[in-house]
Amino acid sequence: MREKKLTIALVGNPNSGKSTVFNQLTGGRAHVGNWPGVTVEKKEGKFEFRDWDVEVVDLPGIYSLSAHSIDEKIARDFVLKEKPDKVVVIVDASNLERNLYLFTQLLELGANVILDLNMMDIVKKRGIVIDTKKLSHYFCVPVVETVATKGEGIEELKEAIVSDFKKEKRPFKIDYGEDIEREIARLERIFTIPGYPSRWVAIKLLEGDREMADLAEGEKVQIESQVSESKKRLEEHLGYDLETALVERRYAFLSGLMKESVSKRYGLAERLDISDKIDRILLNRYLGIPIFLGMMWLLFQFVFTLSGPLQDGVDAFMTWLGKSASYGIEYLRGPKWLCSLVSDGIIAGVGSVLVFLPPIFLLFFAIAILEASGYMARAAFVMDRFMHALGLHGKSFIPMLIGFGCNIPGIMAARTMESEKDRILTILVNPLMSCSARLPIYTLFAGAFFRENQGLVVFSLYLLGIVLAIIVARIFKSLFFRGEVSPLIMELPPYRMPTLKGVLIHMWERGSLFLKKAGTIIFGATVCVWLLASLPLGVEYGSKESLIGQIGSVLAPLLKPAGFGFWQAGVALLFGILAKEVVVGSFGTLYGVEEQGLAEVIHGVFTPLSAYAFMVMSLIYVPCIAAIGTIRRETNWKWTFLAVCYSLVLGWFMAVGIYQVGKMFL
Amino acid sequence: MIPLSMARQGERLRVLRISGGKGFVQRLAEMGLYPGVEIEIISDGSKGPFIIGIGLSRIGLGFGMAKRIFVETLS
Repeated sequence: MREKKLTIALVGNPNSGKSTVFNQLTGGRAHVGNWPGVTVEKKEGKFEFRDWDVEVVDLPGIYSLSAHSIDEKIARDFVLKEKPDKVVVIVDASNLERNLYLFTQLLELGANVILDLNMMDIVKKRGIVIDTKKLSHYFCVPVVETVATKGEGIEELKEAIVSDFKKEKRPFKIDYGEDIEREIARLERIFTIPGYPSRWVAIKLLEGDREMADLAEGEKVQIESQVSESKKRLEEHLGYDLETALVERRYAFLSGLMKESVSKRYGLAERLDISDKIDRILLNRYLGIPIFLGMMWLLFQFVFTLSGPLQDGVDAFMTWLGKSASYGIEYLRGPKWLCSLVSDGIIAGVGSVLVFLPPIFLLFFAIAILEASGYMARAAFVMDRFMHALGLHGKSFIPMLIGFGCNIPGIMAARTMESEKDRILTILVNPLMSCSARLPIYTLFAGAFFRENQGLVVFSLYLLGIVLAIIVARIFKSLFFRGEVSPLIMELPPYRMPTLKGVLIHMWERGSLFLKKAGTIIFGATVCVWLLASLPLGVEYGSKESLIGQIGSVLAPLLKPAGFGFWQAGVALLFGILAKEVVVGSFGTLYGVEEQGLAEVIHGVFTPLSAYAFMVMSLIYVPCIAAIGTIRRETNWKWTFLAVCYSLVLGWFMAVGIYQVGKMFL
Repeated sequence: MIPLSMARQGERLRVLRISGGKGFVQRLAEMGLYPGVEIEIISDGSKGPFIIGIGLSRIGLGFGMAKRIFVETLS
């Protein structure tokens, strides 16, 4: 513990290397949580330097401080309200002009800024020289050069963070031209919001910033009329809209500054670089989709081939652990119920969480590689046209695709969507992407009833899921999320080699979050199920007389129209809420057979038609409890409730519909 | 002046005007696309999504964006 303390914030464009700088400063040890009330990741870390303890808060990657997206609001609020001692703006120095757009907004906000020119290796390679002294002098801020991936300049950055910058501070101003300046001055006099610099507020009001308009003191009507008066006056004078004028002035200012401080300006790319050439292939209209699907297939192969044996290992270990615990307790003359609680309840509970780990971590690992390499950004564009035709956002394709592996990372992947509406829609529809846990159910039933056409039958289920997802998305969109799909504009960073360290850190951050949150839910639910299967006292575990068996019997008549109106099916489906794989295992338990003997048993109680209906039910009916927990975490109770309800209802209707209609023809 | 959607791969252009609703102008500006900036078409819509080169950065434009940006060829 050092004597002196500082809190700093890191701000920057996405792809500016901000995360790398964060990792370099904090040694990769971050505390990841959420910003209060939202699902945006909050990363905090710390480092010690000389006699200082510095706390580092990583703000979301943003392009500006307008209030359009949650990320921007978070960054803005943090800088204004928490008032960190220093704000380090990390900038991709090879794209200086664009990156400085954000920087100037922070200066206008009055923040205590340090400019970190990152990616200087690219700058040097291209033969560009940046006069950092000039920039430092002009903005009155310390300027540091770094190559974060190599760790260069990090010590100098730490030095700049803890030192006092001796230059005199001038309040920063961009001259917006006579007309606009006049209106700014006028609005400044009228409106004050405590805690916000008045000039900044005036500029934001002219920009049409919703949040500022809401906060400005005085009658709301008065604000709107004043502001629109100003706008009208200006637009008449200028001849075009105010938004554009403000943008132009800012860039004119930056342009001028660049001319003076940067030796070689890249007005245009002088030659295509390798990333461009790769993109022409990967994003080609005809090649793009096949290549993308091929990559995804590879990804899933990687994840599930590796995780299979790992999961079996975990399973075997947990089973051994359960048995040993049972013997141990018996040996110690413990009561039978304790045996059952420990092995069927607690150990099974922990086991059901652990068994998720291999696929989840591997999936996150693969996703981290795709993101770090830059390919993820391209993937959204590859499917954009197709998604647009379906009324969905291009970016939602990736979460959907991931959902085929496991709905949990799929739902979490929806965070990349800028529009909250699109994000929630993607989340609601994600469970219809048939996750890999449902495959054992399909394998069992399709194998038992449709031997020759297994592949086709399973494929039809996947297809059904997709078709339903499109329909449901359309319906929900028109019911709850009216409005145009937000524009898909994304920066495509150059392709680069992911670093193992970076990828592992990323994988761990997300995986451990899942472990913590979903883990507790799954565990709790398993113990619940154990309770229901073991009570009333003395009953055989999971039998018809147990509570869960009784619930199954209550459900049976509801399932009759779908062709499987017997209590075992009800119980299996109930167990399946825990985790879809458990459906198969629970049939085994309930009929007292090992998995090999199941096919025979199934033949006795299902018909091909009812088997298909059952598979459809499993496809749709309810996401597993971990997925429900994830939906809850990413949204709120209202949407979670909707997700559970619609899938139950839809699943039931589809299963019943298929069975009843099928009976008429067969 | 033509809409960007009519531009072809390899062309070098200057952005003149952006027509758009709330925040569209700002959104593009934050990404570096603003009236006056010079761009190069890395990939045009006939072959896939639009990829615009601004200096060393690359911006992808989704379906429907390109027709709202107006450009002229550089002489």
